Amino acid sequence: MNNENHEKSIKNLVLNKIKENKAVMKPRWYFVLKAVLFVSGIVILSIALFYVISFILFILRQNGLYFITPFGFRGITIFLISLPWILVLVSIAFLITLEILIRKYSFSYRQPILFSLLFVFVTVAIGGFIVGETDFHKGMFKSANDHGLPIMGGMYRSYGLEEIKNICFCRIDEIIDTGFMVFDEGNNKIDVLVDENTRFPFEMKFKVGDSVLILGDLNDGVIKAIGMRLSNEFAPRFHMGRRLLASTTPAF
Amino acid sequence: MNKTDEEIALLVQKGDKEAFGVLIERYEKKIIRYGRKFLNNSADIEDLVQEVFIKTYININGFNTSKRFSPWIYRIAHNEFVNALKKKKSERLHFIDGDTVFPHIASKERADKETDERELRELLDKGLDHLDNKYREPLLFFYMEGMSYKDIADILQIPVSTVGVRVNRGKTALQKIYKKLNLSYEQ
Repeated sequence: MNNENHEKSIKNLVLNKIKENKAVMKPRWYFVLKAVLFVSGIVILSIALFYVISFILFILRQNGLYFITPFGFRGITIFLISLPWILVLVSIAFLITLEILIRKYSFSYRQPILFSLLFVFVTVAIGGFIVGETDFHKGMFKSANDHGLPIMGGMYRSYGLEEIKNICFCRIDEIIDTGFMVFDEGNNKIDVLVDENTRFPFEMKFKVGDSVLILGDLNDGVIKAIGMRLSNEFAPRFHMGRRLLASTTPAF
Repeated sequence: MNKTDEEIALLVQKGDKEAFGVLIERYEKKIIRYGRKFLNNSADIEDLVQEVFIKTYININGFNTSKRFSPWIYRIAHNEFVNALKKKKSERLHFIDGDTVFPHIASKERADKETDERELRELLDKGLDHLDNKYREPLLFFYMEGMSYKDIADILQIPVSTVGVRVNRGKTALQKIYKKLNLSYEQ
């Protein structure tokens, strides 16, 4: 009985508040707007992630890191040390924010976080890779070098021209007993020493005129090669990008 | 009124304020029972339930009438009770839990339910108060409110497989509690 009175009073209290306009129903447009803003947030964050991931890929190709992991432990170590970690952390922060946003939807929260996060990661990674395959960043880089890119220009110039100490994009000038004589991008002649520890993960048939990527420490014009691979396929893309800025640098 | 909850919600959305009274009548006892179990018979439960219904009314235009009303109103109640707990700061709350991160093998929903539902329901009242909220809520919804794992997942916004895991673990925890309290429960 007492319970019944309680319940009646709850119903009456709520209905009275509604009738007295103390509790006012939010209009439908409010929820539509909220949903639109929410979806917009997800879309914008996804685009931002596509952009950052593809930009990281662009940088890795520019500085050669993208190509050195097949050189074994040393290649992987240099790759990890030299990664643009600030951008990687920004991507992770965006990824977590995106996961939090989509976690509001049943298709996400009904799945374990691990699956949902993996799905988001794979989606943005594929998206970023696709954008990275286009000439978008190359165009931005070109604009940055032509000083036509006011806001992002600095970022493209600093990241796009970054050189990794142990990586040399060169062209073979001569094949000698101890290895190769090559020219680097600055047209400096370098002696490349090759021994049984040097890794050749792909094609080993090098000829004069080939563009090559060499991983190794440069000391007094000599590189003791840790790894070496042909870069004919990716070098034109690489050199084209770098030459845009370094117009005074002699071309190969 | 023989209309479904969703049909009544649609009437309320169209401006029928009195129809909201029907929804209150249908859910009042359930929400009070849920609140009592969630908040361990807190004294201010009526105020909180009143607030749940007011928020339900205020936000009813956000309800999609092609979906089920029950998980939606329970979600509002869940949020309200969680906020009340936060204010009290006396109980541990689980926001990110290992159960929700990793995949689990989905447990059978119906088989258990048919065999021990009746017996368990009678004993739940005595044991639930001693359980962690993490297990208390799924058990309450599953055995006392007769909800599916999917509905419970929608209310708590956790993976469906996690609901199954928590129901099973909650049952195991209950058995231990019963032993302590010298109550009989055979699975």
